Amino acid sequence: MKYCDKYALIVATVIVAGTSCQAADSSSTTVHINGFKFNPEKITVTKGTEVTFVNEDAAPHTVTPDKGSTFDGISRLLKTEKGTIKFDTIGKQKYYCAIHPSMKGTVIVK
Amino acid sequence: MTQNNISRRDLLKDGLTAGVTAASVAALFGMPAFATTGRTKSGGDLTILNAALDLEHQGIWAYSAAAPKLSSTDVGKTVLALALRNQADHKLHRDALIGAIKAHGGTPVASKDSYDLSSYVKAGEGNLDSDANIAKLALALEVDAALAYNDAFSKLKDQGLIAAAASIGPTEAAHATAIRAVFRTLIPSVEYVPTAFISADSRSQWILKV
Repeated sequence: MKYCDKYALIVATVIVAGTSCQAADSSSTTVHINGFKFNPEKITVTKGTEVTFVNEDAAPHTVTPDKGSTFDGISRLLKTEKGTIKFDTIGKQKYYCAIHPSMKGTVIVK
Repeated sequence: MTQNNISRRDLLKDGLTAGVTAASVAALFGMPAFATTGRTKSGGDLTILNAALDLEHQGIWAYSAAAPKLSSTDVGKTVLALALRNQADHKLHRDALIGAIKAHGGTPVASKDSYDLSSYVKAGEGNLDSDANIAKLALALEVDAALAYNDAFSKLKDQGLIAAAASIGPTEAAHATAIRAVFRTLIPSVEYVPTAFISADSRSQWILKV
């Protein structure tokens, strides 16, 4: 394999690996609620990013800020409903579902 | 107290003293043994079981929180009797789920001191300010518990857990039907079973708004 081919392969691998991580540099991203789990459970976004939460379960869920978190939560999402939160405060923003408190997630705002 | 109750209590006491298995105690109360096939140790299953346990903890707490707020009228007494009956079932569900989570190597979520039911109040699906609204809140919680077990049927991987969940979900729907039956005594147009299905699509037909 030529040097330039090797280099191209490395670059391609880095790009593919980059797309599979949980960082979201764009101004919007989506968290799916499925199987009583926020997916992904942890995301990293830039300040001002809008995160849309979509409930794919039959059971209703909430996106409720945990103690110390500073954002307005989503009171309740029925099946297929979605709600969007804009994260404007830098730091670790933890949240949970008030109906099923074992369901937890984190948005790291940079 | 019935002979049956005495017998169960004595058997349970003797059984615990003798180190009887959890499965046989469960069988005594008609509880699912939550047998595992052993093929799957899915983190997803544990997540679902803990979410179901959340609901059982919440249901037990909600009935306890509501009970002192019920009036001493006939309606209040009827709702209280039903609440205590439903709560007893939720305690058995809780115990069965705790056993299942431990059997699968997980850690059962602990109950909280209180639960946030504001999303239901905000949606006009019940409140704690009257007998009728307490019963409506209980109805909404029972319907959502039934929906949660519907989710569990479709997402659990372990066949033993699916069978056990299938034995709890219909009970939650039965609780909802029993609450609707109380309303029917006051409002004859309220159907015991309002639709042929209990699903996210029919949720609004099962719930009685404030």
